[in-house]
Amino acid sequence: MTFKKIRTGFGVAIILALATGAVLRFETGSLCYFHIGMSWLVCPIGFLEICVNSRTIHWDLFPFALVGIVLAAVLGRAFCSWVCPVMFVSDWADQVLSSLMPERVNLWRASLSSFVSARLPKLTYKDGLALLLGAFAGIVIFKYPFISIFCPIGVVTRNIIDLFTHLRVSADLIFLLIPLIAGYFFVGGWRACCPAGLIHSMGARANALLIPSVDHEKCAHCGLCRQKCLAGLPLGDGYYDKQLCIKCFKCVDNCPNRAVSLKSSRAGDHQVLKNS
Amino acid sequence: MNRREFLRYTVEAGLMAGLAGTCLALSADGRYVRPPGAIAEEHLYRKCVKCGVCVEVCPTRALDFVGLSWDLKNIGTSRLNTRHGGCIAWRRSCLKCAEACPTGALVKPADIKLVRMGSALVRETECINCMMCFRECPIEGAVLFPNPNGEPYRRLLDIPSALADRHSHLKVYIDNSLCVGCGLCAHVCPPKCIDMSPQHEVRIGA
Repeated sequence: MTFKKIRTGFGVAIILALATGAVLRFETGSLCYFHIGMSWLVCPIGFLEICVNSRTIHWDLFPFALVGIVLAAVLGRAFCSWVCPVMFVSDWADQVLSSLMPERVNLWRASLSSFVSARLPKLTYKDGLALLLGAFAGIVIFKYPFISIFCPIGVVTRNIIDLFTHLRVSADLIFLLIPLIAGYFFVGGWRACCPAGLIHSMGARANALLIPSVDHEKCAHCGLCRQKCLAGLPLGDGYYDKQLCIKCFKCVDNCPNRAVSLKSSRAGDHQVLKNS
Repeated sequence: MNRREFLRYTVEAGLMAGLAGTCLALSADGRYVRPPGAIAEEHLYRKCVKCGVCVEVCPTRALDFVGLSWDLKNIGTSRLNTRHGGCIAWRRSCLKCAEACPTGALVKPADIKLVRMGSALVRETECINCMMCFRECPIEGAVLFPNPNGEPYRRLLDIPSALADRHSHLKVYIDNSLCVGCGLCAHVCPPKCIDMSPQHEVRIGA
């Protein structure tokens, strides 16, 4: 359970950093523009959007947007499980909800989701890419700030700032229903909906670090790793898309036989193929 | 990619582009008292990345986000909300919001005296002549009190206490040519009878 504790601590630290910035009136910004001391980070998508919308290139922000892209290429989708407050909050809310609800309701919830998603098309990163490119086409044509208004990460961090400055949250939290509904009804809906996650997984395509692999001599085929996987990867057997791994270490934490480890893809055998 | 997939992705992309257009077409035109140094309204929502750093640094907490409304293009941008506070830029040199803005949606004005964010208007029927606005106003002569025999009173100590009674028919009023729209009066007003209206004419170019 060590990784879980570290990851939870990290998620809390990010929210605390935003909250302290808001309370003490520091310029920490939010996750589309994160600024602590000398370190700056600018969301590459937000950067692209304001450049397109205002028809100028903000060269002063360009290096910091590049840092975001480089981090995505090196760390893959680690952002999703280690930094993203949406993932953190929804994971936590899901745990609370399923512990409060009676067992039957939880089963019903899960079966409804699988019933609907079996009948709807499965979304892949290609759909996500088409949606994002379409959104950018809309931005180019109509000059409408589409991403910065509806981005789930932006909505959550904006409300964290509002909560800690004015002790209230805004009704624009309902925008979060879009990815939540997509994630509930479509297989892979989350990754097609979140623009940041999509960019990160594009950056992670070439990345081969820390890929979960199963030691078949130790594996008892209990399926816990697959159940607990936040990205819904078919671990254990089968092939999966390595770029979708969000390095949450849930498979490592939950394996009763310690058969799962995260390796670089060039070391040892594991089931990684290019496409799911 | 076969033809069927191509069609699917094209439809998806078209839907998103259409959605952006629909949002812009449906969007109402809201008017807000923007922070000092805000660029012209039609450029502001395009340049603002909605990071909220201006809301964070404001020392009086006067700035907040435009929430969910039919003004779909301005959601998440910042505005002055006199419920939380007023802008103190005219009282002492504070332009923290403009200094913090990473994208240039707020630009630090060269001279704060040339900037106007809006103007205030007193609803006379509800005014109780408490003179809080007189005390708070950073611009001398922007808040006035009518003088039955001559020029209106500009300073609080000149006003005869007999005139400034709670039930007096003479009420405080605001000179719109001098008011900068900082909202300090509206924030402190006990009966909350001061309305702010945005003024977009005097703004720094895009």
